[in-house]
Amino acid sequence: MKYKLLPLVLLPLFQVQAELFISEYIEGSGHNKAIELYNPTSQPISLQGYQLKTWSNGSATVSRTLALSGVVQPFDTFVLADDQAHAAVLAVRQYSMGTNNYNGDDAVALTRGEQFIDVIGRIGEQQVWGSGDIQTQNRTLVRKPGVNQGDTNPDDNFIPSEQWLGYPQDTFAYLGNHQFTGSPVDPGEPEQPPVTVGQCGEEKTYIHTVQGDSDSSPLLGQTVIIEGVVTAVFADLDGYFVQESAVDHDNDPATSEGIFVYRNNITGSVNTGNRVRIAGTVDEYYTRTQLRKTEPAVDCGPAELITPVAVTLPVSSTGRWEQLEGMLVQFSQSLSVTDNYNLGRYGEVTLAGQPLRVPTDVYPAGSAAAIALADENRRNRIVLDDVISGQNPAHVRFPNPGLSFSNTLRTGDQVSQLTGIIDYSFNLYRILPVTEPEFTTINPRIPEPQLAHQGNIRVASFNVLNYFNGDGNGGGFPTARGAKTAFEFERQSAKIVNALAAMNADIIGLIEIENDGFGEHSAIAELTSRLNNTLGTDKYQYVALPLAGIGTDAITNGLIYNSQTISEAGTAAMIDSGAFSYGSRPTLIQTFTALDSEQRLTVAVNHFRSKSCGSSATGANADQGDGQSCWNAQRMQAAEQLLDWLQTSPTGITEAKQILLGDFNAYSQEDPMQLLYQAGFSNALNSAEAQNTSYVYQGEAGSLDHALLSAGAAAVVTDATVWQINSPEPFIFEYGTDYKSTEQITTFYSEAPYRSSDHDPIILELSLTAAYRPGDLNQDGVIDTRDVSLFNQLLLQQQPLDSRYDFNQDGTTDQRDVRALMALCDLPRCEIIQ
Amino acid sequence: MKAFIATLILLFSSCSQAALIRFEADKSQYYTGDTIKVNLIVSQFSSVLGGFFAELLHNPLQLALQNWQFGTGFDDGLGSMQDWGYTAQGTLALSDYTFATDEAQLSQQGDSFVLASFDFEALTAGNFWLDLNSNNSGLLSFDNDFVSYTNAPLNISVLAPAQIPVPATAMLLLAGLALLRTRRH
Repeated sequence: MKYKLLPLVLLPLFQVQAELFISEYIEGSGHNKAIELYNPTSQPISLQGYQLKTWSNGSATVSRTLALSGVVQPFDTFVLADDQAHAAVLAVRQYSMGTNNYNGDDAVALTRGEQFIDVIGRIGEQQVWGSGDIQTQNRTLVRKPGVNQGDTNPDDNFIPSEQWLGYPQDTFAYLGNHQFTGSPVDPGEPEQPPVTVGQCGEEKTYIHTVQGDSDSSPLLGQTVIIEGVVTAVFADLDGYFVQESAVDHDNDPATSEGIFVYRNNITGSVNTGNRVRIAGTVDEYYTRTQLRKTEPAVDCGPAELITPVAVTLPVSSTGRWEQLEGMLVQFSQSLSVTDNYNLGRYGEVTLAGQPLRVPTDVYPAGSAAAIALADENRRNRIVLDDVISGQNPAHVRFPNPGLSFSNTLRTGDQVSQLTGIIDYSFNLYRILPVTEPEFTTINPRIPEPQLAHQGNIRVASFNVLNYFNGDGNGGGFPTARGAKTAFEFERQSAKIVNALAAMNADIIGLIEIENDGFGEHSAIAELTSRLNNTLGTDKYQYVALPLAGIGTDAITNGLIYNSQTISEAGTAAMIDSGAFSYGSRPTLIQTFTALDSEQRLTVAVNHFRSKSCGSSATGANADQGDGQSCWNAQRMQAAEQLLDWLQTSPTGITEAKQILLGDFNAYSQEDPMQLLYQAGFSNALNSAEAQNTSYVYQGEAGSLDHALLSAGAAAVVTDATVWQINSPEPFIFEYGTDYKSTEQITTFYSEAPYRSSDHDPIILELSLTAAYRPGDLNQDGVIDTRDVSLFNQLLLQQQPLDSRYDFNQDGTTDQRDVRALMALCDLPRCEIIQ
Repeated sequence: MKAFIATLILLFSSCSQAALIRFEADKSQYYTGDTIKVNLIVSQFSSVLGGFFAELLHNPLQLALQNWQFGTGFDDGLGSMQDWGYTAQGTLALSDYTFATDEAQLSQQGDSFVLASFDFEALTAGNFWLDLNSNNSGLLSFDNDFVSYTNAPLNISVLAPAQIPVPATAMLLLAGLALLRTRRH
């Protein structure tokens, strides 16, 4: 009991006098930006109160402030990096810098409040400081080993060569380690006497006190003793979770009663279900509050059962997760997989109350309903973690007994009674399951498009995922955007061809096919040939233009058609001006004739500019924060141009039946789509229905792909479907071989269509003979002598004729209907319209 | 004009006001190789007609159809809807309907008019029939209702070139001589 009076919340171990400094500065290509901090003392330094600030383009006022958190361990580094930096950078990153940080001519400083701790560059000055390899732009700068403190003067001339070593652009080898030969900095105050954990039942600090009611622990950096029940032990996390007994809860929903205990290389084990007593330092590890053990835990023996907290999605606010951090929870509803993009790489899936929808696919951008759905989506998701460290695991845990192509986990599939610990890592709240989640297939694979079979012509739209065939002779790999090797191409091609074959479409618009012309070695020629070989016929042909390519991008649009049912009626054309000159790929258009009915149909294939912002999206093209992301203005321009162009009958044939296919990079209710709707085009698919989505991005399903119908086309479309072979499937099933083991290259692959692309195909069924006009017996759109003659022939054959031929409507069909039919002719005396 | 009117008239309508469709040949007898000109004529109709349709029956091995044309009975001055075709059996089917909107435009119909005219070549000797398939033939009134009709087939006699026809006066002389010889007995 000698510790009875020991203050359980100890004073900080030292008063921080010594300081951190910036030990590495990376200003590389693209988003390759990183800052490494170094702690030259023998004591940990909390980053609470520190900031990383940027003064852009010579500004005298701060352009950007990044509040830091976490702890820098003694003689250790702490890496901040851009969210989209190279994988090698992200592998050692400990803290996110977001994006768009600095460009080499911007001053950067580590500060604590108003105090400058270390400055790179000179504030108020825009220039690239230094020269050669030792400069602040397009270089990696590493602090010289002998330096033991930062440059605290923001106004002095910055000469990098005095304290820095320079390396070529995108050198990442030194990040995460710092060679320090300088004198260790005096940490200041002498250490306090070590804390001893004591005996079970002695005084302790409640876990909810450690957690506090905010994002960060109020006891950060302090050493405390807690006592609680072990709820889960995870070997890969090098620690376990402990939860306060129910009798000791503070009944404040804002404070968590659970916490992660980091082993910290201290020996000893604990048993789930036992009470333990632990001494450790309060830490914010990537903003997860944890206890870093300072001595072995004391096992207090079996404890009462911890009852999971019942949770239902959507939670009341995203802040709710912080209140549950470290606690055992159980979801009281079945949860649906809404994102499996990272299943193969990180072993994780995102779950939601129901598969999430892109708000602007359901509601107009900026509408109250869209804003409300966006808010609900944020509250309606949780990551299910496999609790396996590292990337690209050899065994992907979900779904039990392990992911393979034949044991898929599609979005929409569900898991019930999910129980686990709420944890925070890699910028997301997660549930770490304590029992094996068992998934139920709710969204099964469908082997072929489901259509009503009421039409005679099928029209499809399919994004073929950067279909590049090298040089067309087996060489020419890696390609600009597609397969990296011939082996990869064969894998890609087999999947794409099998998908196309199963669609059994008569006209297919292709998006993201290599823009290499129409010669025999072109991508579209090879794809058509492979499709015919698979089908054992030569029925498919492709639309060719007398050009070496369409537009200037590496990818373009294409059209193939079944020559046994379809012929080209017009002159194929494309538009490559204005918005289509760059960004939006040129729209390709052709008018076709259905051979059996001689009915015509015009099909245009589109691929508007993507939503990816890059660095050039400015002004109206910048993200307006309305859910439509970047380049919306340019997509609007493309839609306007497209409408104007259609008015000119680009194929040389004016046809009322027009279908606009493709990837518009605009969700169903976004501005460009609204413009097209207002112009008279209707969407063949109801975007309110989840089965009509064709793409999943960050866990939200929507349609970037559309089939828009003119009034004439809408009259003959009998059915439409999205064949969801791709968007619900894990990304790891794509043809690529990167990061896959030899075994996974096999087990995650099949030539089956599933995950042949990242977009799902849209397939329409049309009845080009069903648009019956009374009297237009030959269905050529007009009533003339030819129809009268045809009717006479039918009468002569004495075949039973139905009521459609009862032109005088007397209840019978006979020669008395001839003159009644003549009265229906479009021109006097039934003259023939040429 | 030596028009020869077919004498065999088959009445198959109970309607006493039935129209008559008949064939009218330009001669009573032909030799093989001759051209036989035949008109298809309608008469005895009680009101203006609006159209007709007919399937012509004949043996093409005996009478080869060489040429034909529609009449003008349904022409309102700018033509009519004339159509023709062949059945699966190879027979000729004709139809002719008026565009006229007023009966007065069809005053040319009179009491009778030609529906169509045909030219046949007599291929072989013998007695042959021209007829209409009643299942595919009919008349329509100007008011676009069916009109009852009777149909008169035409028998055509064709002689071989070597056969010398007996003059009619000689036949009468021979008949008189036979009568005298009878009275002498």
